[in-house]
Amino acid sequence: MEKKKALIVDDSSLARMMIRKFFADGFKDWELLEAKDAQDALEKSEGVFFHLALIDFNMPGMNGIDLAEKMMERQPGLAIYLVTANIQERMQLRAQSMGIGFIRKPIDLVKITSAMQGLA
Amino acid sequence: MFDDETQKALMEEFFSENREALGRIEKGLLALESHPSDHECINAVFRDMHTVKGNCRMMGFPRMEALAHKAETILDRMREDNMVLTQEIGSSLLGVVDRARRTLDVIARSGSEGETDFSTILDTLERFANLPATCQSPVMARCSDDPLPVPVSSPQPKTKPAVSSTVPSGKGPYAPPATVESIRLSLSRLDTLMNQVGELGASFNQLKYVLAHHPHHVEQVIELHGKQIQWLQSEVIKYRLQPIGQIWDQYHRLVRDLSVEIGKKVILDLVGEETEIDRNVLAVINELLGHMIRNAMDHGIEFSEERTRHGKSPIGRITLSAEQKHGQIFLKISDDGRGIDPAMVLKKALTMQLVTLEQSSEMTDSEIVRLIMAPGFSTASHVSTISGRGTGMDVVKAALDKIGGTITIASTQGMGSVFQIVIPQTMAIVPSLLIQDGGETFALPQTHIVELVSFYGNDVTANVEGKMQAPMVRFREGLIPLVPLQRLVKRDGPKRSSRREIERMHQASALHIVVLQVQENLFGLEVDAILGHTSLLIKPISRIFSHISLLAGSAVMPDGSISFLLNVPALFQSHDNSEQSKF
Repeated sequence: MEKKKALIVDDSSLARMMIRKFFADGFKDWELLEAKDAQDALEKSEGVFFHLALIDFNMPGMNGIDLAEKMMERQPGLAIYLVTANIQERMQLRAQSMGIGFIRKPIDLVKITSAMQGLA
Repeated sequence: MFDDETQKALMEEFFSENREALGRIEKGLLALESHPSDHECINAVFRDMHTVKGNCRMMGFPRMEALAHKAETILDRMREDNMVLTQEIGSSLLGVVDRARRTLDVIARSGSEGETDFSTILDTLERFANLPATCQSPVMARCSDDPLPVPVSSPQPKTKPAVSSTVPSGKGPYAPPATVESIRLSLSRLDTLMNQVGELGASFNQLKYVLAHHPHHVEQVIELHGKQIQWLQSEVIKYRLQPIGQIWDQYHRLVRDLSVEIGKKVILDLVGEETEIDRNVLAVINELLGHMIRNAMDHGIEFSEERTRHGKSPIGRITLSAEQKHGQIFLKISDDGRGIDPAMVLKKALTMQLVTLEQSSEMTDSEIVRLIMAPGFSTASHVSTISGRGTGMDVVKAALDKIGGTITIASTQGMGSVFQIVIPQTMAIVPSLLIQDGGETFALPQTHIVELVSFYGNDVTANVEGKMQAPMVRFREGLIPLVPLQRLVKRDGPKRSSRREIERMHQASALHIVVLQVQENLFGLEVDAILGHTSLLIKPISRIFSHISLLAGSAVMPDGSISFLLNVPALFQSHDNSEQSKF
């Protein structure tokens, strides 16, 4: 069976490492593509089909919401979650009106599992 | 949670990433001391502090997390321009960096963050975090001459309107902040006002003295007196202005709730939030902007699937922009949705008998699109729960007419629509032209006036002619309709036929015409005499006259009489209707 693909974007290497461990523990049939910021993500994900994207909000350069918009333009049906500890209400409303989900930091196995439940 | 080896790897990453971040924070803070408004730098420092906080939370070090969190709060306020980095604040933030580094050392040695007491620095940070936005040291100077009065009785509506699945009806959670009945004024501004009023009193005394002793020098004193009053007037008007961003904030919520409700993906962009508008105007436009955003969400923006099918981004975009130009406010509501289909509009207008087939044959697409503002018009084939609230674009237009605003629509099928609204920045003082007609004095708002033309003797016949049985006047190498004001205001007066009207004009020894513009339409208004320009303090007209849409307000003239400000779009409408009824 072909592996499912998730895009992980976070400027903190520790955060990426953590998510990688969770997937290694609980979701072995998933393949991850990691990026350290939006630019990096856009370059690496060109032409790749994802089942899920977990994107940090606060990053140098383009923020998570703007990256999410670009990703949706490439792949309209992509399930995107913003992973963030605190976010301005205005930004949260903006993300919600784009149909983006939220995962509150710190991320854990339970939160990733519930995000995956909505996936086809 | 993880096996030893994983835990060790995570901790190594924890140390190295945090140390790097702290190093950058320290450098950034030092740079900010000499350039406190460097936004790039503030953002970078904020992000690094945010990373440190997140890392501590992930690895379970709550004390250091709390420390980073407090620092982040202060940095966030700087990011939002709510606070400026003073040396004192800078030192405290650097103190956070030192303590965080020491704590990392402790963790590295013992595996736990220990019992280090952060309470002193946390208290200091807390104090900074709670400073009122306008009153820390460097901002103090700025806040005293800050021209913005801040509403005090109704702070930003932080209360979230309930996310109800039912339709917000009438004055729902997005109703105008009509309750803003008081403003906050800085003491220094009040003092300036006091001074000016004092000087006004002094020059009044001077006036009395000069009148009694040197009556032929009175003009000079009156001139000074007039200047002082003018200054006071413009100063007080400034207090009435408020940034439009204050009412815009709630639209994020509106768009979010609607997009969840109808399942469309939308981004709302706001441009020009700092644009200042009279608070009265603000209350009026708040409701109509909310309505237009609803319309754009409901009729304009397509569902993601449809958008993708047409090669558009799956996410729709609605942009709201405001700009101040020459005492007027330009508002634009644009969406990249499906646009308005003239054929659909026309079909509906014909069924509703808003126009006849014959009339429509001479209408341009943009004229047809404007029919959506006819009373009761709604193109939604079903009564939608979003914008179908028994109100349509006709309500928007009526509200705009009331405040002397205009609206234009530009729509391209498949590409989207742009609604442009032009409104006066303030309604209190209106630069006007005084004219006389039928023995009465009227005022016309300058904003609609294109030119003043007077013809004498033979020039009258040379420039006025009949076309399609209606009087027309030559203007800039073209012909525009010429309407006697009498005909519009004196409904019960003698009705001349158009031919007789032209004859009358041709026999006149002089003809005075005010060329007016409503949207893209020019027309000439014939009046008995043009008196001159003035600025009028306009009062809303009393309730008994409020049904007369031709009148926009009233003003007391120097001799104590009352004059009416004419509503130019309504004048044009009235002329247009009487023209159409000829057919």
